[in-house]
Amino acid sequence: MDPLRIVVRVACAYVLLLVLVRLAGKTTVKHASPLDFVTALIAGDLVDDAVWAEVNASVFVVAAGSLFMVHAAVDYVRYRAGLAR
Amino acid sequence: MKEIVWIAGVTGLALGVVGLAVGPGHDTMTFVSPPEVVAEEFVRSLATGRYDRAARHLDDADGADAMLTAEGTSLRERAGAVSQVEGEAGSIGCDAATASTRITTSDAGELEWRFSLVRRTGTWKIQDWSAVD
Repeated sequence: MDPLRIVVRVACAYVLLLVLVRLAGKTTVKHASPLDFVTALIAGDLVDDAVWAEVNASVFVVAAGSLFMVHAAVDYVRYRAGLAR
Repeated sequence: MKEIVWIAGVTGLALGVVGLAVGPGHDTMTFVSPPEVVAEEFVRSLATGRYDRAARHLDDADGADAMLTAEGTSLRERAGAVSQVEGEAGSIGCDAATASTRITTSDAGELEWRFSLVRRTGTWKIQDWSAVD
């Protein structure tokens, strides 16, 4: 597989995840909850498929976007219910 | 709540960028699975009996279930367990490509399958394949 294409995929996946993580309000690992950790693991697995082109980039974008949207929604519900630390 | 809207917006924007790259940009290998990866995934699905996943890679998947089941069963009976599948790029054009896969099996050694693929709505689909003797 062309290394340059791998570089492009890695860079794009990194930038997208960076933006999504920042938008989800996560800036440090120090106060991460177990759910943040699980979300990070799932996101890492999604990147693996995208980097090796086992799925189309559109599938990765939809999956990562949905993951962070659900995560943000759960955080919001926890905050509203007074469960957030 | 604002975060969710922003995430949805960024996701939509990223989808738009990918759509532009694949559509008007005619990207055939970076933001879509390249032909050799599609062929590799197809053989892996076939070898492990996941025929529904294999059918997703076909250009014409209507009524392919029986054909794929027969092909997968025949492969396993003839060659035994598949231990490794490696895709190799062939020629690639704007809307047509070729690829091959080297399949390492327990009973029949190394097999080679050649694929012809066509580009449908941006993604590569398998049109035809054959074993190389």
